Amino acid sequence: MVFAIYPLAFMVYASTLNWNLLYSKFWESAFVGAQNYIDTLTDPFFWTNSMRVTLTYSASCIIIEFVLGLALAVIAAQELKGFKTIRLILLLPVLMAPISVGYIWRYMMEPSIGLINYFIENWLGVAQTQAPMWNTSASSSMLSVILVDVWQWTPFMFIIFLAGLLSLPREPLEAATIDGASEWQKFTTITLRMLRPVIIITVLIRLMDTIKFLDVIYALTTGGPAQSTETFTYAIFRETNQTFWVSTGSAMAAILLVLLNIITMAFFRYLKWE
Amino acid sequence: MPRKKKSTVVISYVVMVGAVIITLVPIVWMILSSLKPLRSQLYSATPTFFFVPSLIHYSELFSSAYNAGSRVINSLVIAGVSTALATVLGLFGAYALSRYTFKQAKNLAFFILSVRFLPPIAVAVPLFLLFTGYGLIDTYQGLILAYGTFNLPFAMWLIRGFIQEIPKDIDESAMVDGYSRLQIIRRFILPICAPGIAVTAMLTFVFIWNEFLIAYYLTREGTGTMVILMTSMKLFHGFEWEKLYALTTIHLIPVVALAILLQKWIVRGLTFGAVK
Repeated sequence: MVFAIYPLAFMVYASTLNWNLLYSKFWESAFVGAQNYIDTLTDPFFWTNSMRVTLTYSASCIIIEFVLGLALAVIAAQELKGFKTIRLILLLPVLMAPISVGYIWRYMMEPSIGLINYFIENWLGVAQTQAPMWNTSASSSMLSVILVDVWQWTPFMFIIFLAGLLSLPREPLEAATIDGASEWQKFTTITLRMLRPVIIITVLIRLMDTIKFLDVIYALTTGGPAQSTETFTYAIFRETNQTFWVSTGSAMAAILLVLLNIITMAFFRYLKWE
Repeated sequence: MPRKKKSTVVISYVVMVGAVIITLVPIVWMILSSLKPLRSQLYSATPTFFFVPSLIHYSELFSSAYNAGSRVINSLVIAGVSTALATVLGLFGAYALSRYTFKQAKNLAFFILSVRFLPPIAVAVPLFLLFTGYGLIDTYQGLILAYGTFNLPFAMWLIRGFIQEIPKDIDESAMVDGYSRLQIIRRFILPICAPGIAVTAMLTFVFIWNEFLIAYYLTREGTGTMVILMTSMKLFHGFEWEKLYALTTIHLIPVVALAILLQKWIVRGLTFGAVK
């Protein structure tokens, strides 16, 4: 825990300086107080790009993974033959290094030599000039990044929902069947409500992950053509690593932390109401 | 129980098999790509499906040009020791958490969970500076220290979940019989929770094994992990896909092996964050 607190404190301190690693040591830098925070929060690029990208990315990933994961879990809950092995195989993407996943997809997504466009062009008959440009074009880069994230993390949601579904008590469902409820009604009113704590925590974990991780983005697009896939975290990375403005990076990181804390507390408060 | 409709079963299988295919295609394609000896086979306009596989890239990886061997050792040592550290300390911490009632127990639990939510970015630079001051950059000790402490809360959280299933009465009757706390852990908790502890260790290992950002900041030539080597395969004129994928395949082997070994308990381990 000490290792978490000290770096954080230092980071807050660094964010009040005007410090570029290339130019000076931190004890020689000027103290600019909250200037870095103000700069970041009023920078239009910050709002129109980093925030927009982060929100789009997180929301899309979570929604798609939630729907797919839940659907798969419902199907897998039937526990037909062979599903145990299938579950194990499906779990593989979660266990892979996100960077590796990014690199694998990057090759597959190359418009001219990649596997995906090959199938699109030859099986679906799309002309080569009209096939999607995936990660080489600013307009479709977001799609690529979301696709990769969904590929890797849907199994995560799937497994958790499956475990949740399998642990639900049967009586309410059986009582509902006797009362004459349809499958859909049973699902929406009973099953989903009983799963709610599980769903909330899983969504929270994934939300934190999409905001935290830049591995896939780094591997797939390095921030995307013209920074179109640059999430907030990636912007911090770029600021700190490529332009060496550690102070600005620290301010941004501090803002990120506050944001994450707010989100987490909101979720937990909602959970306590259950 | 109403009979399952045949159409439901068929659709279910179709969907699941479809999911498996989608899951496996990228991975299989990657492994295949690592076996293609000629670069032209990777860059052909129509993907090469039929070729003569060759292990040349794997052998080149271990030559001095890439020195993958040392990286493998680095990854193994760092991930292994960190995992051991986090798991053992986590075991003791989890036992303490679940057996002794603190007044602050709830808050402590929340704080522990919040470390998991910490973005590595926020901590990476200050950690880098801190370590530089102590000469811990690019050393095994430094990385193990960092990874061990960061993963400790997560391991503790998971093991605590498993320990909670053991009723406290067992502890109490054992203490009446004269066992010390340490003996209780060794003789009672450990055997019962062994699968849970194994899964926790596995998940911690996988997490460190796959980790990028902290390693990126805290290592140089000496102790770079396999993941870092992967990122260095991006050259100025393009990627060295074949070597990259050979390395990735090697990187995958321990993970897959662990997953197969511990498959029965993986689900419980992964879900203990969510399903209380």
